[in-house]
Amino acid sequence: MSEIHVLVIGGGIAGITAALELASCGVEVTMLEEGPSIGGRMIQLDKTFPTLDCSSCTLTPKMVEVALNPKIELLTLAMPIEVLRESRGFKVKIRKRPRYVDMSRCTACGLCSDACVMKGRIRHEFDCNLSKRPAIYIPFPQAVPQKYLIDGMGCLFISRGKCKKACVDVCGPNAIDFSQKEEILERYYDSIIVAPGFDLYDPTEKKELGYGTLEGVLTGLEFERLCSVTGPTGGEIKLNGKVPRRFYFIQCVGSRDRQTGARFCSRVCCMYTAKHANIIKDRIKDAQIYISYIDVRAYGKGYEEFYKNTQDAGTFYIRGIPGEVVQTKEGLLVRVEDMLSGEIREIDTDVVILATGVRPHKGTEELCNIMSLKKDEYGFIKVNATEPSRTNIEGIFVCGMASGPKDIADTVASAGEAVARCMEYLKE
Amino acid sequence: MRIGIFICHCGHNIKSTVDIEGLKGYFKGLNNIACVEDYPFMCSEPGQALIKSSIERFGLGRVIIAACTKALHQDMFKNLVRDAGLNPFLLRRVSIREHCSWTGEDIEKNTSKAIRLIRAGIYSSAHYEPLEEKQVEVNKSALILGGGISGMSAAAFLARAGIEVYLVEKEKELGGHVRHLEDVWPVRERGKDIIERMTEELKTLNNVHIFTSSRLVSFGGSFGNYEAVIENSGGEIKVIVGGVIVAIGFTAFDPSIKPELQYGIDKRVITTLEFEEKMHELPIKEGSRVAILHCIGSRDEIIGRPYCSRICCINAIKTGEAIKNRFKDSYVESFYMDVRSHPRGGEEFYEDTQEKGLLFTRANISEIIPEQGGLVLRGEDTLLGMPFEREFDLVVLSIGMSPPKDNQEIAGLLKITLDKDRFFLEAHPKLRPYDTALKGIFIAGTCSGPKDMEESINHGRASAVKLYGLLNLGYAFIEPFVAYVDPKRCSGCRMCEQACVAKAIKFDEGLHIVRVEEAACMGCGLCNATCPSSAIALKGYKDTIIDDEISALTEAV
Amino acid sequence: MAEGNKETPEIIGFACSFCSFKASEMAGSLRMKYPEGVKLIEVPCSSRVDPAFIIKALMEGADGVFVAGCHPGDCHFIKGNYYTRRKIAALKEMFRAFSIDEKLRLFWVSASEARRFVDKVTDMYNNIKETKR
Ligand SMILES: Cc1cc2nc3c(=O)[nH]c(=O)nc-3n(C[C@H](O)[C@H](O)[C@H](O)COP(=O)(O)OP(=O)(O)OC[C@H]3O[C@@H](n4cnc5c(N)ncnc54)[C@H](O)[C@@H]3O)c2cc1C
Ligand SMILES: Cc1cc2nc3c(=O)[nH]c(=O)nc-3n(C[C@H](O)[C@H](O)[C@H](O)COP(=O)(O)OP(=O)(O)OC[C@H]3O[C@@H](n4cnc5c(N)ncnc54)[C@H](O)[C@@H]3O)c2cc1C
Ligand code: SF4
Ligand code: SF4
Ligand code: SF4
Ligand code: SF4
Repeated sequence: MSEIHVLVIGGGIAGITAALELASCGVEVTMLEEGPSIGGRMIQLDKTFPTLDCSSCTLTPKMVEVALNPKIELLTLAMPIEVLRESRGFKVKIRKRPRYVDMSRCTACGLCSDACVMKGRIRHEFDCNLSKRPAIYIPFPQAVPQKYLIDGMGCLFISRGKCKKACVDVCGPNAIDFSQKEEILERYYDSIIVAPGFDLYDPTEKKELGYGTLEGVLTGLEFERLCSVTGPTGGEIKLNGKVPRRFYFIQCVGSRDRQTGARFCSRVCCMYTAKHANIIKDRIKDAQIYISYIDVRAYGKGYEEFYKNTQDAGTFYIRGIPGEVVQTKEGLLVRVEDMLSGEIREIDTDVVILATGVRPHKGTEELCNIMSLKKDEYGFIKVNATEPSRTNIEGIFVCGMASGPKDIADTVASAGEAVARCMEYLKE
Repeated sequence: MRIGIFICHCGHNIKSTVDIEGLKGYFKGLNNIACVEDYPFMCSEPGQALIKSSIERFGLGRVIIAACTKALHQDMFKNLVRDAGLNPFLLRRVSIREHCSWTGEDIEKNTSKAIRLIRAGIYSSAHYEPLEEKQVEVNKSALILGGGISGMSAAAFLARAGIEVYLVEKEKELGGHVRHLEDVWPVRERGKDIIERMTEELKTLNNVHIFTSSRLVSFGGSFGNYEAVIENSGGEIKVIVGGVIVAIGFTAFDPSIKPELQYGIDKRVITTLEFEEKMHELPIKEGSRVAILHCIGSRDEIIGRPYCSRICCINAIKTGEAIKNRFKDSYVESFYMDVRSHPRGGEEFYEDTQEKGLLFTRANISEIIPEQGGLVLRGEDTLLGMPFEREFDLVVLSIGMSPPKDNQEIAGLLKITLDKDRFFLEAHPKLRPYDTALKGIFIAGTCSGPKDMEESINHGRASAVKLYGLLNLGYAFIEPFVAYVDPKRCSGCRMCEQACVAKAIKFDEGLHIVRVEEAACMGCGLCNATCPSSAIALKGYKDTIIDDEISALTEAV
Repeated sequence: MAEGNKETPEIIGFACSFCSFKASEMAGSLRMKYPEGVKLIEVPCSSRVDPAFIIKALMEGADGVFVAGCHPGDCHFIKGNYYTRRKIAALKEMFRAFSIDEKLRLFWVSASEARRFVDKVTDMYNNIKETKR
């Protein structure tokens, strides 16, 4: 089977699992990741429910396996721009953005980052913009591939043509290469697995919750970065240098909500909120934590118990979603109708964390267009429950969050299923 | 000998309760220690690069990785050591996370424990020897236990991939629970039709051997060459298989163990499963009052079912909708704790049925009282905080999933483990959700915990792919931890031969000593502990290794 | 040699890799706490534990030793743990003659019984701590 070649689009846990399974079945794989490192959302997380084991420890070894597996070719900063059917397979055009760093030379010493004149001046997307980075950087220390890159927009030399190029001076192996250009590759693949994953709802439009206007209102993913050792505070839960003591979580922000166009349940926010409460209790002993919910959906293995433990550890659950969050002298105030008691409550807090819902990844629309894939009403890639990874195009399969909300365990199983379908297709 | 020690912070996990600098300081000056390094995540690419370059730079003879437990990432670290030119069996993992930083809170005590554990690793690994993994042939065949939707999905994939499949089903027909469902969410098809389609598909594949009304009666062997005996009315059949997928599903919860619900006593109380089977024969009409109770046999610690069953909310809603569709003027009220409309499209369905007039009341129901005119539900509305009593004509119990009946029996035969809820235990809840601790044995579908149909299919096929990945080469490598005999010491007393359960020890009449048949040796070490002459030893666990580990642990720091 | 009369007991446990050691790993990942004095040595099967190891550990200063294996009937190596049971019973009989039988315990813990593992070792630890006073 060695001449068979499958394209995996997306380097999150779904794509990683799929690529590794395919390789173990003897298939050649090319993995495309549009970002500079594989890992997807999962690598941004600090710990994972329900076991609270750290995300890095479970995922980084898999990422390294992808990099080392001789059957897997990894292309980062790369995405497909054209997909055409050719006999049973596909002719694919891939756009590879320049890295401006020669991968074969860079030793990841990091001297360039320290030298870069833009150091500490560019918002760092990987940290949800909570920290600042230079123009030449590595998204996080454990990134795969272990190679730096220059962000063309941020780099003074690339965007404006003038910089003293301090980075070049310090780079021993002469890895920095401003002459790199965008490349277009054309390849043939026998089958494709798409796993572009998800983005999160942007709560700015919900003005009453104060995101983007009030100090101390965060999203769940931002909070995840705040807790992480590789995050902006090195894992200390701190805002503006202070350790907050009072936390208020709001679930279902941008899920189960017609107003935002998402009637579906995002499936992970109840649990990641409970996880956040656990992490806080572990690190800030006297923390006061409230969680607002509609229903608590703890429906995976060990989840109900996790939820119970969270409650027992002294986290208060309030049934009802707050109407507003306002600024006060000492911090923030949440106004909420407690549906269990029927009364309106006002709760003081330092931080409000919005458990924002899941949305299809921004590029999914484009991806579906170039491959003629059908989407469901929310823009997730459409599948059928008896054939959970089969798309409307024969030979293209989908897995992970891209076909609808899933937690990590379900994502892993769905990736296995996609590989099974793909292997069947290849053997037909 | 040059020893390298690599200490992982594991993010916060180790660093926050073990003094890493203290550890480093302690080991740095010691004899034979060529390097002591630390890194936030040893398993990441930079961490691995650090280990590899140190092996090369210092010419290390032993590598001690003090990090998470050996069950995690062992193959990865072994490959890394091998790539750096060192025999992988000269690697020693020391668990300072699962066995130290996570089990104690006091930094000082943890640090001193970590020192001892690492020292035990150093002392014992001094006696390690370079070993080679053994290559064994594996059979390209699989045993699948359970012919429900997950087992059938696995069978179809494996057979198409060219694996010989033995599918064993206890009942007369394939299909499991799905066969009995009238309306499967979200595809809205009859379960029977789905199953028949799949059965047809399986029948076209000539390498699937279906055994219905059959059971597994004995099981042995090792990865690649498991021996299974299947029994049915035709007698016993022995098969040799490379691997196994256990897919024996769940048991529907039996509500009669909760007498206050009157199930089995009063005919007007039925379960959702019965509703699926005979929804057209029920004694309801326009104007009937129907109550649906959620979480029956789930989220209930008192009866030992603390988990959520994932599918019963959607079943409850489905039931309510079916009644409403047939009898527009019926009164249908669902009593719930939380509505967890889990499968795809469930949330929208929940909202739509509410618009159709289905009522949802958040309540705890304490008992059902049968009266002449109807069934009286007594409970407390947890939103209003008020007790209530309401009368209904029919009560449908949305039952949850209980562990499969044969859990204990299959676990015993295959030597796999059950979790605390008595479902099968997976190797890792997230990244290895369908693996067991044993190579080549997988658990798929609801036998490892509640799942809907889509997830059961995912599981079935995903575990099948994994098994295929293990079998497709036709050979595999297995650990070289077998017993070996020192012919000079063996007195020929044959005590070990008697003790060996695997019958791997053979007596040589001519030389009057024993020898070990490596292929048969299971690696338990019983012989090693039995031999009065210390002539037989288990590789990797020989006396000196364990002796020095004991000394290291008892020696004062 | 460690002084056997410190305030905190030192306990050495032999745990089989398929059941009890797995349970201890799970106890760790569930962040269950137990005394630092408890330290484990992994063996493939409880039947690998030579009585000589137990004696050696006690001689060298351990305050207690336990052997933990799979429940009877669940042994991954079919009946290794039955041998263990017999061996430990005999050894305990011998220890009784010296009134040190409390220093040795045998228990069965399956891979999922993290709680049981913690309870067993904590109980043994407390017991020995009590008698040391
Ligand atoms: C705050 C938060 C906390 C969470 N906590 C947990 C938890 O504790 N436990 C748990 O089980 N789950 C948790 N989850 C859910 C978990 O993150 C997801 O299940 C998982 O990340 C889904 O993986 P994926 O591979 O499908 O998608 P992603 O992780 O989104 O990966 C998709 C990848 O594809 C790439 N990509 C996208 N489009 C293209 C393209 N066109 N070309 C090339 N590459 C492309 C993206 O850059 C990305 O790297 C959490 C989610 C959130 C938001
Ligand atoms: C009332 C009800 C309604 C449901 N409705 C839906 C729905 O609408 N949508 C949805 O997605 N899901 C639904 N489900 C869930 C669905 O039934 C399960 O997801 C699915 O049946 C799981 O398949 P399985 O193969 O894991 O297990 P099972 O269906 O339980 O199959 C297991 C098979 O193994 C066999 N077996 C057991 N022990 C042995 C043994 N020792 N040896 C050999 N064979 C053995 C059994 O006889 C059975 O055939 C519903 C469940 C219930 C109870
Ligand atoms: S200085 Fe050069 S070698 Fe070092 S990280 Fe930067 S680009 Fe890579
Ligand atoms: S050229 Fe200037 S701005 Fe660009 S990466 Fe180098 S130092 Fe930074
Ligand atoms: S998982 Fe919970 S918080 Fe998220 S949308 Fe569903 S019900 Fe709301
Ligand atoms: S799915 Fe719904 S009814 Fe079933 S146990 Fe979970 S919450 Fe209860």
